[in-house]
Amino acid sequence: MHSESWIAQIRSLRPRAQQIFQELMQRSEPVTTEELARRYQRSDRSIRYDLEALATACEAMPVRLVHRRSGVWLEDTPEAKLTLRHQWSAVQGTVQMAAADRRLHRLLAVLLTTPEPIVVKQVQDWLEASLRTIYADMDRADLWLASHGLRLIRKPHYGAKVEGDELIRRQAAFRLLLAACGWTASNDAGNEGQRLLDIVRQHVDPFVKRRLLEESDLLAMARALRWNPASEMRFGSWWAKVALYGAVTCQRIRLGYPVDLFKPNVNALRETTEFSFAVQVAERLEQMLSLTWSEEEVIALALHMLGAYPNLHLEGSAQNTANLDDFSRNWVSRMLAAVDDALGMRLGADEELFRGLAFHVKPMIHRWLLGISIENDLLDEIREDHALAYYAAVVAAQFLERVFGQPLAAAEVGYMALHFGAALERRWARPKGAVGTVRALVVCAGGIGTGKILQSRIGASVTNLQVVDVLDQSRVHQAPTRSVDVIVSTVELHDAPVPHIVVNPLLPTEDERRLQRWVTEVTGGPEGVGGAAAALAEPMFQLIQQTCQVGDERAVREEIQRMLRRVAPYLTVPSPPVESVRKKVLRMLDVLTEECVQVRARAERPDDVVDLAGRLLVDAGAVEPGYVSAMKSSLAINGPYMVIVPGIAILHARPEDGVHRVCMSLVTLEQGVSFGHPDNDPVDIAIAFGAIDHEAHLQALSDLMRLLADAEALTAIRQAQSTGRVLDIIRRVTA
Amino acid sequence: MKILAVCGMGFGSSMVLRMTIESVLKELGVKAAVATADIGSAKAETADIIVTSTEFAPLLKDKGVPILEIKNYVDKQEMKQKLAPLLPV
Repeated sequence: MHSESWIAQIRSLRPRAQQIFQELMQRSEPVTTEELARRYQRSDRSIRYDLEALATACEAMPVRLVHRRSGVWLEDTPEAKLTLRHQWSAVQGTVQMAAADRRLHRLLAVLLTTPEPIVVKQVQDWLEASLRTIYADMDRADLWLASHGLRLIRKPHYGAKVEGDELIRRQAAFRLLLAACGWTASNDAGNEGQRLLDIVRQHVDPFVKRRLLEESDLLAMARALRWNPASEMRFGSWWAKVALYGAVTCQRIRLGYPVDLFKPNVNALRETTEFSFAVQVAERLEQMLSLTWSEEEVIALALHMLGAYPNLHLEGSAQNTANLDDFSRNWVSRMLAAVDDALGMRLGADEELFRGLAFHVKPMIHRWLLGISIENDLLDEIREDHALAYYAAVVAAQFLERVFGQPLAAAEVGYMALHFGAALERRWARPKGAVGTVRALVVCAGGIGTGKILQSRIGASVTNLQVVDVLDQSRVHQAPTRSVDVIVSTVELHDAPVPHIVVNPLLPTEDERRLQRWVTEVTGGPEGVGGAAAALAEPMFQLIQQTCQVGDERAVREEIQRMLRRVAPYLTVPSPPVESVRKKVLRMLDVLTEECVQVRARAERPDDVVDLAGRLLVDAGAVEPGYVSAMKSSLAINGPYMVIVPGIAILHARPEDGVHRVCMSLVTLEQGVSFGHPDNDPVDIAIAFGAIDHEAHLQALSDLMRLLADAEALTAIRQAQSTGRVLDIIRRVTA
Repeated sequence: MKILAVCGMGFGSSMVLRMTIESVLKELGVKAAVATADIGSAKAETADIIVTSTEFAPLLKDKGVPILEIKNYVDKQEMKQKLAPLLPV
C-alpha cells in the first residue's frame, strides 16, 4: 500500500485519534482506554469512539488495531511496523500541521459566523484541544483575520469577536473555503456543480463547511451560473470561485447579515457587463431558493466576479473597442487625460493603448476595491528599463488613487506600465524596411500586455522581423500560420507549427541579440545585409584595396558580405533613448530659423496672412501643406481670438494636422490686415507655429511671450527691413 | 484654487495665458493650479476661475464660475487688474 493512501486515511481522522495512532505505533506495550482518557482529558467514551474510528482506518493498512481487556495495541509484523514508522516520521510534521490547520479553520469558521463574543471554553469541544493550544490557535486566527482585513477583538470576561465590514467578512469566509479546497482543486471543478460539491466535501472539514455554506445553495448557485452562456466561456477556476462565493452569500443573506456597500464609487459598477450578469444570476437564484437578493447584494456579487479572475477577457472582445463598456471607457479616458496632462504627451490618442488599458483597468479596480493582491515578477525590470513607462503608470495610478482614496499596489502599477511601455515604443518605433522581412507571430502566456510590449520591442529594435499578429498561447494552433515564418514567444511552446524562440517579453539587450541571430539562422539569412552593416561594405573593400593586391574582387566582396551578415545583429542602431528625446529643450531661435522669417510682406485678407506664414513652414519641411489649411479652418471656426496681443496674430493648428517637428515662422506686414478682433486689430505681425505635443514647444512659447511683452522690441521688429535684423532683436530679448 | 486658461485648441494661446497668469500669481504671492484646455474640453473641466478671450467667454457662461475676458494675453497689468479681485487674500 502506498504511503500516501494510508496517511490520507489517518489524516481523515479527528486530531485526537491521530495522536493516539502515533502513540500506539511508538510503543509495544498495550495501553488502557482509561489511561488514554486521563492523558487527553477526555471521557472514556470519546476515547472509545476514537479507537473505533482508528480500527476502521487500520483495516486498509498492514497493521491491525487489537482491543483487549489489558488495553489496545497495534498488531503487525516488525517489518510492516518499521516501514509505517519510517513513513510516518517523514510526514509527521505535515500531519501535525494538518491537525493545527484544521483547528485554525474550525476556529475561524466559528469566529466568522458568530456575531456574539466567543469564550475559549465554548470552542474547546469543537477544536478537541487543550485550553493552552486554543489560546495559541486564537493568536494564529488573529493574524489570519488581520491579513484578511478583519480585526479580532479579544478581552477578558468578554471573549473574542470579529469586527469588520460584512463584505470583507464574506470575502474572508470565501478565502477560508478556498484555502481548505486548495486553489488547484477548485480548478478541477470544470463547471459541474456536483463536481464542485464533491471537491468541497472531500477537502473541507464538515464542521467548517456547515458553518460557511449550504450544499443546496452551492448547487443552486452552480445552476444559476451555468444557465447563462456567458459563464461557459469563463475559466473553470473563475466559475468555481464565483459559485463558492455565491453560496457563502446565500447563507449570510438567510442568516440576516446584509452587505453594506457604502463605497461611493460602487455605483459605477452598474455599468459593467458583470453587473448585468450578476442581476441574471440573482434572479435565477431567487426563483430556486426563495431568497431575496437586494441590489447591494447583486453589486457585491458583481464585485466578486470582477475580482475573482484577474485577466477577464471574453472571447474576441479584446479585438473590438465597441464591446468596451462605459465603465472602462470612462476610467481609462480620464486616466489618460491625467497622464497626457502631466507628461505633455498625447497617449490618449493611441487606440491600442486605450483598448489594452480598458481591458486591464476594470478587473484591476475591482481587485483593488476588494483588497485582492496580485504578483508581478517583471516589476523590477519594468521599473529599471522602462522608467518613463513606469512613470506614466504612476501618474495614472495617482489619478485613480485620488478618486478612490487608497493606494494602489506597485504590482498593479507595473502591469499598467507594460501598456504604457508598448505605447511609448510605438511612438518611437522606426519605420520598417519591407525588403527581406521575416514574418513573425508573437505568442504570450495569456495576458495582452506582455505580448503587446514584446511586439513593440521587436518593432523598435529587431530589423527584418515584422510582427503580423499577437496571440495567446492557447490559440497558436487555431491561428492560420501559413503566412508566418517564425514564432517569438514568451512561453515555451510544444508542437509549434513553425520554428519558435522563447524570449523575455521586455527583450533585454542579450535577448534582442539572441533573437536577431536566431532569425538570421532560421531563415538562412538575408541575401545582402541591411542598415548600418551594408554601409560598411564599400569602405571595407576600399580599405582592403589600399593595402592589399586584390586578386579576385568578387570573392573578397562575398567574404565581406558573409562577415557583415554575422556582425549585422551587433550593428543595429538602438532606438533613440527616451530620456534624451524628451529632455532636449527647444528655444524660440532653435525653431524660428532664418528661412522662416519674412519681413514687410503684403496681404489683404486673414487667409493671405495664414498662407504667408504657413508657406514658410511648409518650405522648411516642418509641416505638411495640409497644416496650412488646418490653420485656416481653425481661424474660420474659432474666430479671431488668436490675435492675442494688439497687432499680433498667433496662428497654429493641431499636431496631428501634419507637424513634423516643432517649428515657428514670423511674418511682418507692410500694411495691417483686419482679422475682425474687437480690440487688437489690425494685424501686422503674424507668428505661426507647429507643436508636436503639449510640451516640446513650451520653452519656445515662453520666449515668444517675452517678445510679445516687450513693446519696444515689437516696434523694432515692425520696422525691420531684413530677416537678420528680426532675429537679432529676438536674440536680444530672449537671451 | 484652480484657474483654467481656455483657447481654441489648447496648444498656443492658452499656454501663453497660463504663463501670464502664473507670473501674475507669483507676483501676488498666491498659490493656485493653472490648467489649460481647448474650448471643447473646457466645458467638461472643473475650475474656480476661467480665463479666456472675449469670443469664448459666452460659450462658458453656464459653468457658473467667474470668467475673465482678456484682451492682451501677455499684458500682466490687465491680467492682474482682472484676476486679483477674485483671488483669496
